[in-house]
Amino acid sequence: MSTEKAGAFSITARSACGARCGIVAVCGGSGALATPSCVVPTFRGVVPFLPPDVVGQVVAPLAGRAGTGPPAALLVQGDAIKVVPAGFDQGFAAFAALDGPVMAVVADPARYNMSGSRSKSSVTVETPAGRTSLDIAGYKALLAGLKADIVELLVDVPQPGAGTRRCAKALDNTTAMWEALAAADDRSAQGALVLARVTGGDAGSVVQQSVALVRKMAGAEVLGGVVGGVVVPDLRSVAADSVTAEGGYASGEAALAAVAAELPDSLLRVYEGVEQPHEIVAAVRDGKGDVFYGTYPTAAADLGYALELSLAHGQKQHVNLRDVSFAESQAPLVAGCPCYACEKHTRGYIHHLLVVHEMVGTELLMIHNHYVFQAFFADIREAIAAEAAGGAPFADIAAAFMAAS
Amino acid sequence: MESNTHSAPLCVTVITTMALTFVVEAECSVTKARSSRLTLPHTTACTPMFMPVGTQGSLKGLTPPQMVQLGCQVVLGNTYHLGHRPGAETVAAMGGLHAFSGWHGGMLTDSGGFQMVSLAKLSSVSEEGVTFASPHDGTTVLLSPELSIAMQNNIGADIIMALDDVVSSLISGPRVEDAMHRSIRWLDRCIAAHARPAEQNLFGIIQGGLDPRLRLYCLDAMIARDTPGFAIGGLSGGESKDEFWKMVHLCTQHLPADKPRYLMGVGYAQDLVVCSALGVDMFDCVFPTRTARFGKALVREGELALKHKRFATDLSPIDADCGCYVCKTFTRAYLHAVVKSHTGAQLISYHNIAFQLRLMADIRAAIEADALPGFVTAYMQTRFGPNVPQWIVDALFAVGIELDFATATPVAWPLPVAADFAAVVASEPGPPVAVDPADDGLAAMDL
Ligand SMILES: [Zn+2]
Ligand SMILES: [Zn+2]
Repeated sequence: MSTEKAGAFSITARSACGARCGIVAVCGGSGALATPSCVVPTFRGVVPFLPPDVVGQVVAPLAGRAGTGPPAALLVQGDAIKVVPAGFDQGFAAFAALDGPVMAVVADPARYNMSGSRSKSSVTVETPAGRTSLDIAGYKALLAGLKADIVELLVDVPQPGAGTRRCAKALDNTTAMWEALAAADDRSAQGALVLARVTGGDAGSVVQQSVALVRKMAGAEVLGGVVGGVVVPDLRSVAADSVTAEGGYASGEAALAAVAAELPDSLLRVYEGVEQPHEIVAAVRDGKGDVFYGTYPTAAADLGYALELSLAHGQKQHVNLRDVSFAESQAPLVAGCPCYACEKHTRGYIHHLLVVHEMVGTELLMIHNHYVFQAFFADIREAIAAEAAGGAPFADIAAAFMAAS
Repeated sequence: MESNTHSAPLCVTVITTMALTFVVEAECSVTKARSSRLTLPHTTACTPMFMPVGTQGSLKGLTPPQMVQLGCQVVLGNTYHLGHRPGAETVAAMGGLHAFSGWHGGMLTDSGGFQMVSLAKLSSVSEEGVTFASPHDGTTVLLSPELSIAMQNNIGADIIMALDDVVSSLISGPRVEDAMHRSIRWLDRCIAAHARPAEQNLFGIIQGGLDPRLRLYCLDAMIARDTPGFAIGGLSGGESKDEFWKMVHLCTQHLPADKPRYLMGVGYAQDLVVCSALGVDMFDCVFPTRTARFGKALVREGELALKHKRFATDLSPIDADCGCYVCKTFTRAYLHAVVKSHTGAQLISYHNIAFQLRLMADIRAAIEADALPGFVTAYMQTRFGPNVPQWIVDALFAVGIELDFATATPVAWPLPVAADFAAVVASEPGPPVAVDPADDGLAAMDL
């Protein structure tokens, strides 16, 4: 347990290849967020199909392992603004009965068109419940109401394919908003770790300027919180031609590598767009990401897949429970899995529930998949810490994982 | 499920068959209500009880541990749906519905006939059975009493139901009488076909429409068959509430006191209260979970339509006295925020089942304390204020309760939690329930 004050990120172990373990101290009753970690996207605090009491059941088999607890919930700020009543002052976690840390970001990571701006003082963001507008005053009020553990600064994100002028304008707007927020005499983000986002869209030169802005903001106090982390968007989608035309990076991969190299090591790195297990292992190995969005288990469950995944044994071909060959299978989703769904139910029953569109079918897949993913991250954290204590190099474990997958 | 404290039984009658024990532990000194202990192969249930409906082998959005936490006693499965998917033979191959679904408490399956008549486009009834075009693939299927029982034997519920010839309660004339006689003949075939009488209890279903003469004939004939329990069928099909309660009253008057009485498809709170007073022991309905999926939470006064924006800033629980997990954890404002999501439906279903089970526990406690008239009076006053539907006034009067709010001794409602009541209840989707929206007693009350 970290003794750092709430909102601080500290690195607790490193491997030779650059992987690192860390802790974000949080002020709630939820202890701390141990990294590498995945935060689970929610709709207003709820993981689809998993009410809070069931979430507790998901992580129950991990009890006792270092750094494991209720998964951190990812929340869209623009959406949350509509739902926390003015009279409720205990924060969003209490409002939604969340036990784990809460991370609030400006825009919905599930939507491609994330946010836009008409001015230097407000942004329009897409949320799970539609488009909404956030200005600086509204943002401050929102943070005060949310009392989230990790919050993202208001930011203007250009749409994919936006031209260089729009990208530059977005950075201008972002710069203006961050300066205004830093200058504000306000403690709405007291106790939170504040995230600054790398922006700039497809324009490589603007991305570089954006990284410089993030470096400048690192460690600054904003609204009573400290800028201790950075959101790195999925720059791989940046087309190489448009990037090089701006005198920027040679490719999306090159952009990611350069950005990672230029960002201060001390910042918590929230790595967007990296969601597949092998991508996560690579990003962790190279020290590029500390926090990932846990969209993969939900997407797999939505399609009927049960994950078979572990750091030690790799990622196996997932089974699709919609397959009629499971109709009379008495086997669990994954043999030996200690989750509730595998301990108590069969492939045959879950197949039946999916076929007849009963909610419990998807719920059981969600319980299994999210357990597997949380266990996967627990394995990663323990492997990095073990190397620091003289164990096998994480680079070797990562290579074995890739080979087995 | 074992209760630890009970007042000394006022009256004890015991009937034991191979698979069922029914002990009346307390009787109301005014009404026909009784509190009983129904021991089945997979559970010992306290009645009067409400049974949530798990149509396709799961309660909508609730896992078996949640059902246990709620205090569910017996859950319904629909033979028609399970017989289609995954198929009764598959359920049997998987060890029966208990093993298949992971719910190890009590279960009851219907015959499949009701869904057939109500869901299938074309159905015709002959002496052999019900012939219908499957709404799933259009093939013609004959559901005979033997096939219904074979499927229910495969599914393996604690209580199974005889196939009956269901006619709408809005129909009159010779068809009703024919159907009643046929239901008796089919009951004989069901009894003969029943392969697992030591593990499953076959209930006959009293038919006869709204004609007392036919009902009495059917009662005599079926009571003579001596099945372990009886259902009152053919109601909740759109008949007036006045006709409804009179038929229930007639049936409970003649059904043997030492066997459980099951009123099919009834689940509105006020109906549970009235029909418990009329002497019914078991109820089922999809209503609590169905209404939850429309964002409606059950409260003593009726329903809260949580979609309404007035709840966006309401920081109180659905029901401060409920005590269920949802009421202890969430505000109406939060439920309003998530009401349109799957999770919203799950959470409201949870509460609604809790509400139904709590109501039944309160009814049992009132019977055991011989305080049912006061409880009923307080309940109706809370639910309807001065405007109690006339059929309720009449039905209660028929069993000795004169609703008089002016002189009534106030009774705290809900009563203290009954000793036998672990927590609250479950949810469930189920057979289509005909609802007459014009009926004053049934119309949902949106607050
Ligand atoms: Zn599992
Ligand atoms: Zn409740």
